[in-house]
Amino acid sequence: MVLAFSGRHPLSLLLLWIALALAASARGELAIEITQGVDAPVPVAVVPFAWQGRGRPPEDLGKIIRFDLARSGQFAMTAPEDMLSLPSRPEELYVRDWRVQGIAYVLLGSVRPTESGLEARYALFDVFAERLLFEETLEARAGQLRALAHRISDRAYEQLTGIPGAFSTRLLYVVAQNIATEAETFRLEMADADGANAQTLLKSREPILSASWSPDGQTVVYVSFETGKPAIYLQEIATGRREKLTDFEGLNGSPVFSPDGMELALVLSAGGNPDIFVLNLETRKLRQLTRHFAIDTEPSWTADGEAVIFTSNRGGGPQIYKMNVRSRAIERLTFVGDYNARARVLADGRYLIFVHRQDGTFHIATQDLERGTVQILTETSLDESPSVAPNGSMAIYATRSNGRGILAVVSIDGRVKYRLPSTEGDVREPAWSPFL
Amino acid sequence: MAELRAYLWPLAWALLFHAVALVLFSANWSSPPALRQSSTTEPMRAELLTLVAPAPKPAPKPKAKPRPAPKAKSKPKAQKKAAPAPLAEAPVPARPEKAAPERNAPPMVPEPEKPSLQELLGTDFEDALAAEAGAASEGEARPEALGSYEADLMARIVSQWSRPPSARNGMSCDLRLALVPTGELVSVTLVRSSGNAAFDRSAELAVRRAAPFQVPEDPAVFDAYFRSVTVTFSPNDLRY
Repeated sequence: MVLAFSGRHPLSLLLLWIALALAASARGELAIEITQGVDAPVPVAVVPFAWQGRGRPPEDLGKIIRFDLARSGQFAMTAPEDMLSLPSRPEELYVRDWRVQGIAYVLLGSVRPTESGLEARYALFDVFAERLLFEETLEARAGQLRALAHRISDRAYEQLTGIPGAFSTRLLYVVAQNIATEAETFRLEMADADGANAQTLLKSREPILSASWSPDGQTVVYVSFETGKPAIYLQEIATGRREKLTDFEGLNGSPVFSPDGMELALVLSAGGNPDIFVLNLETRKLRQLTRHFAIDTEPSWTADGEAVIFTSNRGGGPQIYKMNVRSRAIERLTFVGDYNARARVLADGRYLIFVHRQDGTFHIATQDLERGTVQILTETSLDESPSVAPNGSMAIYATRSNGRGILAVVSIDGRVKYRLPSTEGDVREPAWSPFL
Repeated sequence: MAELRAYLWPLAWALLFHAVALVLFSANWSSPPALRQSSTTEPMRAELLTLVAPAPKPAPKPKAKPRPAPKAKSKPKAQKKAAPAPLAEAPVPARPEKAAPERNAPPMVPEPEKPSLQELLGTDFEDALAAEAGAASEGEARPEALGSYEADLMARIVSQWSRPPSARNGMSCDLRLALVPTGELVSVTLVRSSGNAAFDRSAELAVRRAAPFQVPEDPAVFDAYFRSVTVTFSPNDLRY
């Protein structure tokens, strides 16, 4: 276009063209900048999924998805009885049915049994823009209906929030029953992120502690006192095959996989007082990271595997420190308050989540490592063991309610909180799995 | 083509005042967002300033001295403008002297009259808008009530804007709204994406849920300001 003009009066024509463009934008140009919002939950409807098999469906897919999305706190879910119609295909959806109720997005679909299991066809519809956001199918083995639902939740969540969903993940935790009695038992359990499908990985008469996941989600490590003294075990989830990794004199505690899965950071007190060690899982060689007369404990890795974060009382009270695993350079990270412990670094590397004591009670808090600001996320007391979901949106932690240990979840911005359905006994030491 | 020629003068004026507005605007590009926001939420201040225009005149004038060049530039523009559009006389004396202190804004920062300077900056944009609208619609001044419609539109959208958790301070997208005289929304166009689809969609949803809007009844005013509205979404109140 500019080339065509250049032959004749290039400047005047160009100026006229610019003037036209400017005038066109000048007429009716109200330019407004919006810098604030309300961040209220977005109204979403998940229509009960149609069942295209014989008899009744094993479980309503829509209900599981609704529960998933509601738990995220980002959405206000519409109850099925308030829906004016129950479409199962996008062609059956009448926009006005949803628009009158102010519903922004509708997720609908159907499930049918196939030779190999189940197939779900589902679609997400943008009501106000009258636009289909996606329509997909997913297959699952028979009996994997819940997993199928969680995967659909993940898809919808990612589409609507820009963050991958973590509904298809799992939790590890320890259940203690009949504490301080003859029948005292401890169980290491694994459940879906919504608390369903709990299964026992290990049962013992002696305490089980500090369970954590391998980066591929196939293996867990934990501390078990089953021999009467603490030892660190590695266990394959699928096969149940176990291996004892360390049982040194004194403390063997807090094992955590490095991000590449090749090493374990752990705590040993064989040298007299607790220090952080790194165990290479291939060579089985141990190297000592910290060497200090103070207590160094509760290690975890930064996402890049370059450094280990740990709790130490070398400065008096417990505070969080960071050590580069190569240079061994140490840096203190927390300065707010006189008790900060059990820290994890979020995947973005910017935020630290840890247990923070304020006015004598223990809360879960985050610290912005760039600005140093601390935000307390939980109002409960005696909160411990925060573990972050792989999408970085939520953290699960242990707390107490009515004298019992329970698990609760809080979003990293502190806006959303929920408790996990409680089982019998005291639940503690949760660990959120990586993406599976 | 004949129609185009008839528009040529107004267009030229529009270009001129855009250039002025652009210079004024870009000179303050680094000012905090709150400043720009105040310019849209409190448009009535423009009225106040034109009334007291003669009073502040002597004060900022000496400050303009260190940089005579831009001042000289803006003055002839104002004079030229006064000729074809005598109706727009009121803003004319205000323009050049406002332009002068604005250019000198950075060196003046420590002075105590900073807040009033900010108001001046805010109103400059309003005046520029009013002036260019005046040029476009043959000497008509910016209607007084415009600000309240603008504020209403903004408030409606703000109250509906729920940002996704992936939204971050510093993200920004532009939507162009096409409205009809009943205030109903005909279309929303994403003219500049933030790069985050969920963020863009949250902005679009806010607009669609906020519609219909209250718009001026005067068809000329509606055509001039509300038929097409560009809204920039750039959060500054998020945690991250």
